[in-house]
Amino acid sequence: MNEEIIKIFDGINLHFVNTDKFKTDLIATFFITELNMENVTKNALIPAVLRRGTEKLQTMKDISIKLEDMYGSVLDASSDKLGDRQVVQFYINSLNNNYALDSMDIQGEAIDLLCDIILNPKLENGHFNEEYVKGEKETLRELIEAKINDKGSYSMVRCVEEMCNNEPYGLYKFGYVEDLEKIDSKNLYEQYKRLLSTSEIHIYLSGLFNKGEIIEKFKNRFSAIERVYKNKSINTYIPENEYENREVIERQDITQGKLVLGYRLNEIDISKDLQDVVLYATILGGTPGSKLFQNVREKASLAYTIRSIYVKHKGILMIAAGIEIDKYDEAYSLILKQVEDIKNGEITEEEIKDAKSYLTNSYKSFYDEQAAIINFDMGQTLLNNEDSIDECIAKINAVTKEDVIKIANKIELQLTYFLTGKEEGEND
Amino acid sequence: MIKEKINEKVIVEHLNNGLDVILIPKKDAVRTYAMYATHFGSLNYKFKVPGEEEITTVPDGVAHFLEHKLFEEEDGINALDKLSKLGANANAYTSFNHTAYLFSCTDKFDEAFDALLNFVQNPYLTEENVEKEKGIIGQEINMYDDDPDWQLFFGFLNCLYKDHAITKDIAGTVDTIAEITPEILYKCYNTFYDPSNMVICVAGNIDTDKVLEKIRSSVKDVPEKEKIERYYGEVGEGIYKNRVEKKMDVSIPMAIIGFKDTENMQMIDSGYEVNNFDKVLKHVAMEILLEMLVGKSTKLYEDLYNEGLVTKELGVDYTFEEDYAYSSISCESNNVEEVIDRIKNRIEELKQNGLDEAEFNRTKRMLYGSYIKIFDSVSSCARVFINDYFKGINSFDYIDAYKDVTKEYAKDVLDKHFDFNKMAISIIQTNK
Repeated sequence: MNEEIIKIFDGINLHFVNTDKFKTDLIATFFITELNMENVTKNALIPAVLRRGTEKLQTMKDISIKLEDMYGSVLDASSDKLGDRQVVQFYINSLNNNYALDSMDIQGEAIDLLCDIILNPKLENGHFNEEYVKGEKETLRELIEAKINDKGSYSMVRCVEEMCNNEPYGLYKFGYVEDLEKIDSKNLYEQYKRLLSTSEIHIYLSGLFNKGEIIEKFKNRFSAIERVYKNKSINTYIPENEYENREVIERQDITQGKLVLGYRLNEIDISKDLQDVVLYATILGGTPGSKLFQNVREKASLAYTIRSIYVKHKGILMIAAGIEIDKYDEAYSLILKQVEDIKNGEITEEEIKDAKSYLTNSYKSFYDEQAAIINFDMGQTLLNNEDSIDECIAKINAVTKEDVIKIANKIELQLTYFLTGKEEGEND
Repeated sequence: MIKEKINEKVIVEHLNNGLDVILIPKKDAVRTYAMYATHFGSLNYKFKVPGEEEITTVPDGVAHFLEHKLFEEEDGINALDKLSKLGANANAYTSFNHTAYLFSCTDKFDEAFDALLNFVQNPYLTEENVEKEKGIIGQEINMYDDDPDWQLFFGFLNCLYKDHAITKDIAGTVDTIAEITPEILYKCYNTFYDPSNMVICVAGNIDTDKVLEKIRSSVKDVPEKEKIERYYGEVGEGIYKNRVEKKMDVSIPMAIIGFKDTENMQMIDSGYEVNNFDKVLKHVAMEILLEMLVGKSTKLYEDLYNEGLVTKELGVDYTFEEDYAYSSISCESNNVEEVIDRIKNRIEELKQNGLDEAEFNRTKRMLYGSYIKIFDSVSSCARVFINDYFKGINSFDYIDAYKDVTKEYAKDVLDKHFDFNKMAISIIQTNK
């Protein structure tokens, strides 16, 4: 695999990931923009509205028919957050031309369709279609409200909201129901135009492509945008106040409790210590062999699920556990003990070796998945980290026990969040 | 036996001890994925051990319990830890009809494969470690109680079947697992973890001769045993209940509407290619029909979406295993009753008007393309081959079936399968 980056306009890069390994091609486009209260809901809504219809294929049904005809190509348009940035992304995954049962140029069709979705939406009177915006507002409202359905992810979202309540990252990635009523087809279209003209844009093409032809095609299509791009990287917001361990308890009608501990890693310079933190988080709770899994789940049976999640684009770390409600105190103190143990250097060479081989395996596995290769590269670009997959592996394997202890002593517990059952007799 | 299709190759061997081996060499893959599975799932609570006269009955949840326990080894080191030390990502699952142990790795395949072959063949069960596991599994059962999708699905199964083993929760209940003892577990182990009841599948950049040799030398050399007789209870012609509802803490009501399939319900034999092409063809026809009924390119879906009745694709499934089969369509909606009515109308309409030629061919083409994509991932293709193995199916047959299936055949399946007398509905309402 090799990657080639070609700048077609200011802030618009084509990334060719040359590979003949897969039976499909994957083309992904990322619009990187600031995450803020003003636009978060609009930016979450835009990909959904674009997905509804293009100038050529005016309805969702027309688009679906087209995708089916292209041997079941899959089109995905969504919005996410990566640290304090919002990312509006479009993927199209389609069968290689040589598996087609007829002479269809599936790859060419896929590029055209992706560009149409992004650049040529169905419009009326110079703005988005009223019906589509109305419909997608409703869908987004349900998506936002569905936050509560999966208790595991809900508890982590809540932990982040409480931890970062004054920072962009604290915003919910799909936005807020209260914003929806203020959004109409005009102001949404204005935000769409702004997104096109000001975002940092990365287009990834994984598969085998006729480079010259593709570059021309994208130059041609993207020249339609009026760019007012200012090259400014979006920095991670770091609050200045000191952290105290705050506790938040929430009650729902559930039988298993969800405990989430939120830590800050602000004292760590990830431009040089990124893989140290990755290794630390893995030893703590990243694998079945990790301290948390072994000691809290396997030995003490105090949790059914337990793991740590390191959000590298934000510099926070969470420990999330599904526990029996009445075992809260025992589980909580045993979790804290694992964190303390690493601080005090209680790590074996074996634990380090195991975590390294686990991470080596995970990094290498990226090569088997087009989306993983692309997402890794996009993630690195946003961290201003130029390490390739192989370089990450080399760095992971060079981390020492002292490095891990150093990291362990820099993390600060900021929030304890507990989603628990209702007290007896309590009802809505 | 070697089979080739779409630039993929599969090697299948049946060993003297009865073990089946499926190898899928993929030279470009970085990951290797290995599965070791037994034809033993939550359905198997009642069976006759080969050579015994009496029927054995065991508590619900025993297959899943055994899955948890097999990772424990006599030296005190959990097999998961051993695999994870080797950099392998290991896991296991129990379904209705099988239990599988698996790992994926990028390096040290030989060592990891050894570890897999070793722990699955060497159970270590004591009074103490069995007792301890009850706490862990109890927590897992609680988690399923809070999972709306799971509750919705089991509600549906409980409508279709009255006494069949499929209505039993895969993990059992806190009460049934309380009855589990080391003796029961050993009895199940000795019955179902015999090579004659098992299969190994490896996909990845492997030397197939070497892997086969390793398996031959590591899996115990015993005479192939007779088949285990399995008793699941009555499938029944009709359905048990039309409808079931439950309230949970969810933001939007959820529903499943589905049909019981009682055609050709003789027990399916596991094995690679037990000549079940007719089943493959029917499966493919059902997939096409379900797409044509409620798929994203249908007028029905467009209407439901535009009217705000649904916000995402409806889920569709056709399941056939052992002696039962059913189809299901699932949705989330603030007005599930309306969505269900529209689906019923749509079925009626398609039955009356027949299948449109262009739509039929386009749907075939889409499913064909989607199927080929499975082979991009070592884990997906190993899982597909294993799942199909337990239905006596060679997965490559699907590629032919997607090309061969005719509109006339699909119409016939449509008319027979979607019988409103065999329809059941499960709903989860919000607590609001």
